[in-house]
Amino acid sequence: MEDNKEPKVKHRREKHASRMVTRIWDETPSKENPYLSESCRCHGYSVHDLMEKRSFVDTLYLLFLGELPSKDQARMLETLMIALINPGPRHPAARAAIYAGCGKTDRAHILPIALTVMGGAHLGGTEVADAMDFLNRHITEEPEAVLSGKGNTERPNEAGDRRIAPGFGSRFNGIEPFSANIAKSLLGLSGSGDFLRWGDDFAKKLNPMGMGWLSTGIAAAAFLDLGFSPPAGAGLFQLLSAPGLLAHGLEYCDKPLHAVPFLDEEHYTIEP
Amino acid sequence: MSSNEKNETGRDDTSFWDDLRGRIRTRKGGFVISRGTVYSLGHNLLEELMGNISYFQLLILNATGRMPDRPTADWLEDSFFCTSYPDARIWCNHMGSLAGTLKASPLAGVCSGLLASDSLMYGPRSLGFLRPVHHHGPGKEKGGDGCGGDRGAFLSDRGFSPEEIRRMLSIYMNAGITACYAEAEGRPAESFFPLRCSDVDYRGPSPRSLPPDDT
Repeated sequence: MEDNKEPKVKHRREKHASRMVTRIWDETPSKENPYLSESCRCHGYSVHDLMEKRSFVDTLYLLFLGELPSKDQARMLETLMIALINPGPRHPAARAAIYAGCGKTDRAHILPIALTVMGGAHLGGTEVADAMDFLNRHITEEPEAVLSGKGNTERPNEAGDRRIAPGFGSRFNGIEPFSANIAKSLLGLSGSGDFLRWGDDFAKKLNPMGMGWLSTGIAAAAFLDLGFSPPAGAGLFQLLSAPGLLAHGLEYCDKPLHAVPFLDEEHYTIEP
Repeated sequence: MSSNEKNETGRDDTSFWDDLRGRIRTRKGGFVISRGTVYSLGHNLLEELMGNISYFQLLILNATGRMPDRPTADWLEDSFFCTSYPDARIWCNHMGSLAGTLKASPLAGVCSGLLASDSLMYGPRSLGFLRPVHHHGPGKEKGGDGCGGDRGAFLSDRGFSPEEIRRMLSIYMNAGITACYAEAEGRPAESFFPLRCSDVDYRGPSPRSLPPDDT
């Protein structure tokens, strides 16, 4: 998008804007009431026209990027949205939703709770934004050279998973097969581009070391191929994961408290 | 003219909102930039209150508009200990741990846990039914559980409304959540209570193919 640079504050006495400015949404006021909108336009297109003639995916792309997508871009975004629609019930963000549902938390909080957890720097939105930065920085270099630049890639003597770069590493000490298959599907689409291809080359070079694509890396590469910029990565990842997170949370709203495990003292160890 | 009537031009009467447009009116106070002074409900926050009242007195002042005595504020602070168990099995603390294991920020961990504590089963929302019981004598409200019921009854006896009590208690699980977040965040990522695929009992439909596309 144009004009998306942060305005530089020249000095502390700079005058604040008298009104908010947006390029996204134009509201035509009702003749009877200036606080009510009679019609709305999204980047110039009538929302009613979009409702009648275009898809949700088209409109989502338009909302964020300012223009309607091509058929290839729409197909790519829709496929990605399905791929990211649910991180699964074992993902910590989904478990947050489940425990919120089961714990009889206000139902309006279930999604915000899960999305807050989903913003993390490990398998979450922050990692996606970091991965987009990583891919942007290295897209013109050979993956082999970038890997060489990482120095010693031997497994360090510490527990847990490895991250060679944001979006690329191991998960539970293995290579995620589901993520690898998603990457393969996306790469088969006409809308895939340089970032997914570069990421796939890089991931393949990591495979002998027991590492590869992570969901966050795939999302990052796909977002970049679609034209999104890194600052959008965290929120987009949260947005696209939201349906599954909410579904898991709602599934537990009417279940009793004992529907989730509660460790007994034998399995809850207080260490010195 | 009531707010749902039309004015003489046939337009909606928006005078209530027009009066508020372009301004903020507050009784709570704020920063008077020209004087470099901050006011909180008529008090100079930094010169009069800071160092002379406790943080919990300030919390109750901001939640209710009334300055409590020090013993009441100290009682509330002590009661926060009752909901500060650093046990990751407790649902709101569990959120903190889950956020920590995904390396979310401390604020994200604490906020997700505090939001979770807004529960019908426990938390400030569960105390909303309380009414003053002083005419029966101070003490426990029937149905209240442990600290929660006692705390709600105590505060209710001192004239705080259920809504005011909810406001005062909105962060009362903060310390326990913080502990659980800190521990999980300090350990390897996704190491908090890891689950295998088989740790989830799937009971949905058996594997099936998509129906033919008839569009």
